[in-house]
Amino acid sequence: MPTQPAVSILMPVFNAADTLPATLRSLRRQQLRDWQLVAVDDGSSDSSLAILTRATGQDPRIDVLCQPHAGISAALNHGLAQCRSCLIARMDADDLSHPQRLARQWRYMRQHPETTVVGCGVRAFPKQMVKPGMARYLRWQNKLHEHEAIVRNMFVESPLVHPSVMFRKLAVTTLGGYRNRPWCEDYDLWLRLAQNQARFARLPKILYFWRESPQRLTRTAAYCSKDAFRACKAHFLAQSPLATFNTITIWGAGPEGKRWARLLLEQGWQICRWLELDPRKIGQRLYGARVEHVEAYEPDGSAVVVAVAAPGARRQIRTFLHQQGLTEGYQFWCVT
Amino acid sequence: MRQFSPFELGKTFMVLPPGETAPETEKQPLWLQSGAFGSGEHETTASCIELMESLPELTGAQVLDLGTGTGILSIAAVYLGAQQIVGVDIEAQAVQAAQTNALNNHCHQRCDMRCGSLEAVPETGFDVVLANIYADILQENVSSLLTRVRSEGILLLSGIPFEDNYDLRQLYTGHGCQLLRNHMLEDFSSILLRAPRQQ
Repeated sequence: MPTQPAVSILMPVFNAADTLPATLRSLRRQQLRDWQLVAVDDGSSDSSLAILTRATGQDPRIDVLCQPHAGISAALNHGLAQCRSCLIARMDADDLSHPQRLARQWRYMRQHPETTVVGCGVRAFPKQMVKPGMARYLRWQNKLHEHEAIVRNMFVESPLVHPSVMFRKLAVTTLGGYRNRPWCEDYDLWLRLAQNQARFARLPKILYFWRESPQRLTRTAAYCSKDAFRACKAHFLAQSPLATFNTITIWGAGPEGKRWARLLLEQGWQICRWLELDPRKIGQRLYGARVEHVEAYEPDGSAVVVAVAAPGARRQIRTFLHQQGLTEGYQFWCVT
Repeated sequence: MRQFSPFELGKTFMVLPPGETAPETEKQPLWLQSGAFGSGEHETTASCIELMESLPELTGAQVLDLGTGTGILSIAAVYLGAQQIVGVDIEAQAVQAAQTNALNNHCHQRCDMRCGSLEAVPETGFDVVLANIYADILQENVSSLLTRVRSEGILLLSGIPFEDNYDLRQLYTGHGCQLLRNHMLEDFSSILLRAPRQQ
């Protein structure tokens, strides 16, 4: 009967022969040594499987599973079922973990039984490949340490880099594991976990190194596009307390606000007004609702959806709406 | 000017602000005007010093210190027995600080501090190359660095973020270097290599 390791590392692998040796080495360097690696080869056509087979011959902690190419959700569910630990550390086959990553996340989860998912600081590499948008995203998500901050920003962007987290297996299997949807499996998981009162946290230290490459799924797959993310957010907003409102005020009459207006109208909400700072837009009518200056705002019983992308502006709007007596996640939502 | 409290560095050194009297200790005082370029507390500097202390090749060596900064590694190399150092840094302010620090440590005659990139060092045949610098510079300059080190000389590369350690080792060993030590630190890493034998 195999023993239960402290942590099971869940790693889907698809054509990662170039990067796998470095990834495996970063796992062998972990300070926490009591781990099981469940590597799921998702029908690679390169030598990934041969590299994994060799690795498992050298290290009995490595379990290799194979499947015909079925996509990341199927690979993750296949692997999750074989994870023997109640704590799962995600890992991607082209990334690297800091030697203290597993030890620190494991310790945190032991000390915080209420936490379902713990992330860590993430840095993208190689430096020359990291585009400004990616650097901005990582700076933003690396600052979200507390549960409240992570949940508050759930509809802004994905607040956690999936392969950088450690989570409780039971919480994920109870929700049916990963799902195939027209959007990313990880974002879908965070939103379902949040719906089910999961608690999130992040260790501030950089413990995960995310390899930038033009081939990465985040870059290439349609289900990782901005439209797919927006559709996912709208789907989950329709199941949130926003569903108790009939009418919505949209803050921000720019292109992002208009995209959100279309999505919200499709979901059956009515737009009752817009809030904007740009004097050129004040007085216009968009989707049947009037654009008003933000200073004219008074709570009127409608929900407020803030579609403003600049983090500094978002911070100010949050403060303003709190001062108006509105609660985030119940009467107003920040989205992008 | 930012000052600092004296601190021990490696097994050999006690780093002190300029003019401060060395406490009674067996450690070698190393006076450093820290300026904007750190004063050696940084883990990569400490790692370089520890690796240098283990290098018998430093005795009587001709040393190249790429990205010399405050000149701390150049000065330490002199104290550890190096014969002559060429330090180079792209920041004029750093070179000035390095020159002052070499003077304060009475080793300025053995430290030739230059402003510029690797092109400012046309010499070849260095026994030891120290490079505590950005990893992308180490990647881009692999051939240029290898032309400056003598056959089977020593390369001490540091300031390498974790995520670049593996690729950088592959790059240098792919160019015929032999890996002697790989120091994984808290946030960075240092690599000690022996340059390939030249025919």
